[in-house]
Amino acid sequence: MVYDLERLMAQTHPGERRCGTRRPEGRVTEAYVDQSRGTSTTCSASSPVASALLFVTRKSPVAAALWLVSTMFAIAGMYVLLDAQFVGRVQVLGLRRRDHGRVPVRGHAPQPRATATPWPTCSATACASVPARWGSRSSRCCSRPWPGTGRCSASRSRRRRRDAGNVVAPVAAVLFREQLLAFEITSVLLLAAVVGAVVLAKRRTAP
Amino acid sequence: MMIGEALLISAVLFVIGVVGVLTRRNALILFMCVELMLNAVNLSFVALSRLHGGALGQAFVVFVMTVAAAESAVGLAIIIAVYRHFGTVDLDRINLLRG
Repeated sequence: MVYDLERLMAQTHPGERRCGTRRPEGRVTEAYVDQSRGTSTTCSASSPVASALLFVTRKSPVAAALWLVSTMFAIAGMYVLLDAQFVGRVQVLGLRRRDHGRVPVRGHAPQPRATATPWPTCSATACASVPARWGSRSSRCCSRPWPGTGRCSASRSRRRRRDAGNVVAPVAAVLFREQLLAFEITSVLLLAAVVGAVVLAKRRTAP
Repeated sequence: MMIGEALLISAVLFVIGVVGVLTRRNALILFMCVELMLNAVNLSFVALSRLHGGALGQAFVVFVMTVAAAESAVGLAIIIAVYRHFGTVDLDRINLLRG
């Protein structure tokens, strides 16, 4: 059986279509898909277990700590494979402020807000670079503006792509709406723990 | 990745952490084994969250990470205090609370 790459991408990356972008061409076989899936599963499954075994069996605490870090990285990779990119990133790096908390997923780097154009207007030149084989899609994309707005519906595909890659929003909705009290209590607990750690570790001076 | 495989790996990691807690006598490695157990629980949270199609499991992972960070901070401070008092972090030699 031969897979159509475009159909696979449409299934696995539903929000990545956009007007005027040339999509990759090619066909992959079922054996290639199975081999890739098996390889990724084997690597992701064996590396945390092996790292954890090496972590437990080391006598030196430094070597054990380094193997524990390796285990954490492997578990973060498993988070990514389980579609929990936000948790995986928190596990490895923590939240960074330079990209405004957005998580790049599936190979798409976040665009800077200053250069992003969320509501482009529809024009003939905007769709001039669309290949001929996308003619029907491009005409559908640019000939039907949003009702009542006059904006190009290319922004709709861009917004759909952005929403599909946004893995922070569901977690944030739970944290800041459903579990807000628990979130606040946890933050106070962390603050108290940090203060207590400083007090406990402070060297006592003789009066 | 399959959910069952993730849960199996989570169980294996948790067992490795339990074995480390029961067999090792170094307090630092003991704490790291507890961290490994917490990460195994986090992995099962994420896998079950994907199984049920919600983000509540991922939110709980954030909570667990925060509590683990607090526990590590206080635990390491206690270990530092113990090392200053006894000169070692070997749990067999620390018998201050022995009855």
